[in-house]
Amino acid sequence: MTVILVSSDNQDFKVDKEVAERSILIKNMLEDVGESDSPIPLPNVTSAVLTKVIEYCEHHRNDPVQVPEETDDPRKRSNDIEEWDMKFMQVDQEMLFEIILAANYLDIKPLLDVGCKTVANIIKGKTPEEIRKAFNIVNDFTPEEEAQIKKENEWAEDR
Amino acid sequence: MTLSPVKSPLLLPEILSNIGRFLAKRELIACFQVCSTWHAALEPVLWADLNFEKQLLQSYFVDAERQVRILPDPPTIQRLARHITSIRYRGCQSPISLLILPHIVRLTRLRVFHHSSATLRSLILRNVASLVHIHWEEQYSGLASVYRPPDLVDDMFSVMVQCQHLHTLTLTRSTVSESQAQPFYQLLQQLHSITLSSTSIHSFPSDPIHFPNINSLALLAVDMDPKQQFKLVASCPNLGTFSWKARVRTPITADALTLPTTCPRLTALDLSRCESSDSIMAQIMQKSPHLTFLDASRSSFGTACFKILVRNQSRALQHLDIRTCGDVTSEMIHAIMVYCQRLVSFQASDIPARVLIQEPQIQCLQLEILTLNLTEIAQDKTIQFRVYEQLARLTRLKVLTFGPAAEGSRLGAGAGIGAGNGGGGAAPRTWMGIGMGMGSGMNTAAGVGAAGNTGGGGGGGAAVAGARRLQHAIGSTPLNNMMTTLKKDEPDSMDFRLKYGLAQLATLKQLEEFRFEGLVLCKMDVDEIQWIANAWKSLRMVRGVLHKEKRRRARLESKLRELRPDVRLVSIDMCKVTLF
Repeated sequence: MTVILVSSDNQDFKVDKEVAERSILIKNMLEDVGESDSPIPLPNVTSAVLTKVIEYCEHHRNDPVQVPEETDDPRKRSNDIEEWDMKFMQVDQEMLFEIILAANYLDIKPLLDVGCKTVANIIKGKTPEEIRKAFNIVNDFTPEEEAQIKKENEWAEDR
Repeated sequence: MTLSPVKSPLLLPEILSNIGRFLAKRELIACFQVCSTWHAALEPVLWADLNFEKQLLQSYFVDAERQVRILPDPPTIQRLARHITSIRYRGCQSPISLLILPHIVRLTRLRVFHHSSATLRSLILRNVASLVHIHWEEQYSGLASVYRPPDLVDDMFSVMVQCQHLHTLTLTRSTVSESQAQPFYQLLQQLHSITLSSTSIHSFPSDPIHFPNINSLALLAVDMDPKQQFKLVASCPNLGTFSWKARVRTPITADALTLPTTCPRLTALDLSRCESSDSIMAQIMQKSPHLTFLDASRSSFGTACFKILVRNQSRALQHLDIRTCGDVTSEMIHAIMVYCQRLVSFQASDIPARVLIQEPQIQCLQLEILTLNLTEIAQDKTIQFRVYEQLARLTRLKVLTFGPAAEGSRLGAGAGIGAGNGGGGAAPRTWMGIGMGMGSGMNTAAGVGAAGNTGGGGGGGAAVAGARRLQHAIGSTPLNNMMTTLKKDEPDSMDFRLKYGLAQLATLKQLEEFRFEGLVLCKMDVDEIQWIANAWKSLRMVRGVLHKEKRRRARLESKLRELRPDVRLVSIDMCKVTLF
């Protein structure tokens, strides 16, 4: 069975139901609507991004459903990205951000996590100034505020 | 180019906190300084989980490097404390913990070790609206009762029962006194998952009571009449997983049979050291077809159990321990390895290596831990080659041991019952070094057939227990018969030589431990050491004497250290150990 997804720029994408249902948003929509072949509009996702997202869902169509894990260590590792996912994420920053936003909107947790891990890997080893530069972020702190934040947290750091 | 605020996911708090999950503390702190949005979104991530024992002890006024640390001012502490949702608390009364604890109000997960106090009591009371998990572990031995302030213990459950969202509780070495029984059972009615280990429960409600929410229950060595324990189980109509571990030396009587009748979904069962009989065990197994974990070591496992196992459990079973069950034969072992295809860990006192080359081929390809006895294959290179060939199929192996398994090596069991469901057994870390080796020593020196069965039972100084086990082992027959066919003066040996087929084991990419400390005659050469260093990238430990000759052994050891400094090498020279 297939469903039709419509991107923000009015392009139709015909995909297997199983693939589309990697998105919890779409899965819930399909469940609510029941049997229907009316296309599903996705006004927040452009066709370029939707193409990427579908590519991801196709590749991961048979993955087991993620169960929220309960580990003692809430810090996750960002260096355990699969090889395929790593290649998949080799895109420019704008596309990376678009994929993260789409994954968030469509509720595709594993894709969101891969996107966030990719960002985390960019952050690693950088100073605050380098991070701002990497992502084009404007520093809205006064020097005093910045020093205060540093002071507040340094005692919690592992040495 | 600047990113428009709507378009950048890096300004959305929920996405930022998801990114924060993948960052280390140091990196998080760097991110705080990026901009105010990042600071606001990521600060809760850093402070959500506070490990009191680690962080707070370290952040004492002067740390280990004698650096004075500046503590945040009280308003900051209050702000940070509001982010804390999970703490591990070892009862350190450092100034900082006293400052922080009163301001924690959103706690969902509390882990307490060896501690109970009024401070903690008020912590729970302050967080009744949010607490979901409580893990409470008391101290070993009677010391706990000396240091335990009575105020909390006396009304521990009355306090906990006020947490409306609490659904998981773990109690270790705790006590449910008669006066606390009522709130305790009231608490149980709201819980979804409960683990009680080495906990004493002094009373059982006289009126029928139901625990409809309990989905997962573990009663591990609970000090309570087994009959009442099973009554408790029978009161959980929606139980999905259940683990049971008998207390040491608990005779299992017909009462135990009520256990699986009331709990058809039993998944883990630990009956080790129960004084039971083959037929009682078999009846229990008959009624629990979904077992994935079974520990029957030092208990009874014979023909009746074996038949049930092959018929009922072979599809699901992942962990099986039948060490020191006198009636286990090599035929049973072979059949188990053929039929139980999902086994991750399989432990028996004696898994003869030649079982591997029997027909039909073994199919337990998920095995991670395996100990082989080299009975009757020492002299035969063709058989050794074929053993390697079969071992090469077990590509998931993490721990491979050659030499007789020591009964005393119970510590080596890969998975405890608690960990039974999670990812298979971790590699054993705490085997008794000397005890292990003695198994083969006894074989050689004393030539007592039964000795191989009990292995190094006496290792680790447990001489009395060892003697009793030895007696037990001599009393059993089938393995003894097999062992007596071994020539008395023939030492266990395996040639770890490439020319005899060792290279086939290159498929064991996940091997972490290679052990052969029970072997007396071992001959390797530089080629083999080089091969091991190259082929087994995951290797972390080698236990055994690399060569019987002292000088060559030293050379090989230094070679291995040079090639793989990351591999720990432990060798005990058996020739120097006096037996008894």
